[in-house]
Amino acid sequence: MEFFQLILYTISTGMLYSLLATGFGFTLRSVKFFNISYGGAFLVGGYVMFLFYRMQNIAFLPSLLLSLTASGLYLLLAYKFIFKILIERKAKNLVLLIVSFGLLTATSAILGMIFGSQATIVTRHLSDIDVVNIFGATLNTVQIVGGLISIPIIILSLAYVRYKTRFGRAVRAIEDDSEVAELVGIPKNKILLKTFFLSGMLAGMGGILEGLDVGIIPASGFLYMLPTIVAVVIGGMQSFWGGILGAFILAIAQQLTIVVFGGSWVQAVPFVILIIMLWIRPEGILKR
Amino acid sequence: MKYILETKNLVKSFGGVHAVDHLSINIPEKMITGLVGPNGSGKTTLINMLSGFSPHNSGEIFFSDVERKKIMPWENQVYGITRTFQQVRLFDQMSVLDNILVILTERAPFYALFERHSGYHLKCAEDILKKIDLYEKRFHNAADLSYGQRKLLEIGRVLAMDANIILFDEPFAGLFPEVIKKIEKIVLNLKQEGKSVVLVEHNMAIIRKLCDHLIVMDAGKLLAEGHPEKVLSEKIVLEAYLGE
Amino acid sequence: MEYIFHILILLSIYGILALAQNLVMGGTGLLTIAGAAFYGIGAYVAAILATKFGWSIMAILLIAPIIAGLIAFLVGASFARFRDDYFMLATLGFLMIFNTVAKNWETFTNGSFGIAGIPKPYILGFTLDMPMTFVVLAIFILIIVVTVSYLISRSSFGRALNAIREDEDALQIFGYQTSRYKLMIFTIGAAFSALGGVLFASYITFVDPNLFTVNESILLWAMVILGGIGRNRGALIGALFLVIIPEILRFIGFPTEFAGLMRQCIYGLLLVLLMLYQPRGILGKYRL
Repeated sequence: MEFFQLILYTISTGMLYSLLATGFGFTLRSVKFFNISYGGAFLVGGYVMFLFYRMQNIAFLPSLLLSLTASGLYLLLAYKFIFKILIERKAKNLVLLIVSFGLLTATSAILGMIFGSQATIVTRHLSDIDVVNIFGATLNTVQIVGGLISIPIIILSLAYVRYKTRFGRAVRAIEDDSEVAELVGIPKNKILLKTFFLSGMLAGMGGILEGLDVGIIPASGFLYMLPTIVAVVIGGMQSFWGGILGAFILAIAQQLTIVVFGGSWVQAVPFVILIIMLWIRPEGILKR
Repeated sequence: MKYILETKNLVKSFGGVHAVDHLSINIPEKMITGLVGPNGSGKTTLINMLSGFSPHNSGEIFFSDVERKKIMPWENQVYGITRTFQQVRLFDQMSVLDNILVILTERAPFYALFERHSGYHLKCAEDILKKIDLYEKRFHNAADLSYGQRKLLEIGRVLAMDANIILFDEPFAGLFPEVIKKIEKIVLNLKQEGKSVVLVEHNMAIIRKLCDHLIVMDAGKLLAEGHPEKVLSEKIVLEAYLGE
Repeated sequence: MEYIFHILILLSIYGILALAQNLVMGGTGLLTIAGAAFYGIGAYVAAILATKFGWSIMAILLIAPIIAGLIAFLVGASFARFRDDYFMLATLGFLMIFNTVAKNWETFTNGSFGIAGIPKPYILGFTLDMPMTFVVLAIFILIIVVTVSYLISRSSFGRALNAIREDEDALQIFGYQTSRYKLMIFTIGAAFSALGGVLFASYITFVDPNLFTVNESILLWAMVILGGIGRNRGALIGALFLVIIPEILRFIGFPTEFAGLMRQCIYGLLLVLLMLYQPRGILGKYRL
């Protein structure tokens, strides 16, 4: 059933965007600027996974852990040595924005020089990926294990951490008002470092999944930032669940565009929606 | 007395808290009106609303009996009102001279494109700079001036605007006596020229010295109004300050 | 010798683009990613008018900026009330939409294949087919743009732009409708960028959608910030540096793709390092 196939694709895409948007939301809410270098963590995750899993032939799970650590570290170090300094200097948002673009551009270029500009596929053998038949529609193992199973688990775990743990409360306090949070005794710096590490890991996870599924290129860092930002703006930046809502709205809109207008116009969809949202409701659909 | 500015039931709230609470005041024409009150009484918020810097939530504002509905900041030029800022907002990376010239030159963008400031603009600017003793520093960046000089430059901007109503938000705060004297002279001159001045200040000596009329605010409301000596001896005013 | 002409032409084109970007960014502090879009619009207009209608370059140089300016006016007016970072996102959206249109509007733009075989420019019957004559044209246009930029900076309009960058809200109190100024300079900047695009298309003799991407816009940011924002000379110096570097690398023997990636890495890092350590750039007058 073609319709069912479309639904599965939409869910799969929506899941990926949800993962990326949720991770992005954490950095956005804590330091209040659009940190484009999140895309760099995406790339680091995917390429480091390629390095360990495919080039060095290390087993899957250890490779995964190493890659996630690498992408988490990437964003953490970016915060520690770049953004933190600028924020303490009371730099304008524009400056932070420019710097984050610069960082992503440089990261993208460096990875391109090391790994080449061709599509880098992380899976060892294409035969590793089975195609599973569900009611006549197909998805591959990556999309199932990654998209349909792992991502929901990850997101629910994040929600648990955010609302039920001390760390989560501290994060929410900082998102609300970082100065007051500090006065109340929350170790702002430590929490921010951990938040960036977490965000980096989530972005890296996205990079790994895409790397396994369709492969990544250096430009992917930027390319995947676009739906991420749009999802967050649509769904509501201030809300944890907003990113997920926006992600699915975007995925559905994209799928509809492909069906109605054909595949090549799909690229413009996120931006048309973005501009419309900025016009009518810049704070997004969900407020909290 | 003729009133040049009036508010009726003016309200400004921030998330449930009324910074300005149903305020109805009158600013008399061609006089210096003091605006005092404890910290947080809403004085700067009122100035922000009168100068179009932030919108009011409800109530009316009248300029010479004409209601100014939705205030766009740039319309100040039409209504003949200008102001200084409590925290001094200058164009820091521009020269002292440019800070003044920008107030004197053409506002409409298309014409401004083809205008190079004329000898007349320059002369006006230099005259103002001489009045505020900043002529020697005219090519320095505003950021490089001392605090007192920066406050004087804000006043220079206000002079360049040549408005009828001038709102001063704590122009004397943190200044040395010589500078205070300079500014007092300028404010008195403005009154002599027939301008109407509103002066937000904490220094009661200055208020007594300069003001013809006094308005006291507390917690966003009008507490007392009238001649300075009379108002400052009213019981509720004294309580508002002592109880702070 | 031909190689020197080639460099001079590239320097002229990027000089024009950097000046345009500086007018918008350095003047008002508006962060626009749409630079590459207007550059692209100019290039495509030139390509279409030359190949399909056989126009002379003088006519193209007159009409392209007008078209770009009109589009910029509409775009800028739509985005006028957006706050800084949202404005940037909206210009990003516009760039991506331009990209998609260029790839899909087959009748005009020939889709992803681009338009090749653009005839050499001709003026008054003379075909400019020697690099030297083209250099003269390019430098001539550059001089015009430099002169106009200089006149703008020295005018009352230019002074107001600086004040907008410093404290837009305060300036409004003194009677300035700042959104009109921003719209106007955005339009002028777009028109100049289009001139650069026309020269580019005529020189390289083909255009394709992948030439006008986010990376191009970020390169322009780097040129402007490196030279020093708000200074016309700064934009030219920045352009000089960032055009020469890949040429030097290519000279030493690195393959073109590597040189391109190297330049990308450099301007990415430059944006980060400049903002951290030398936000005023080389000429050191203004900072964001």
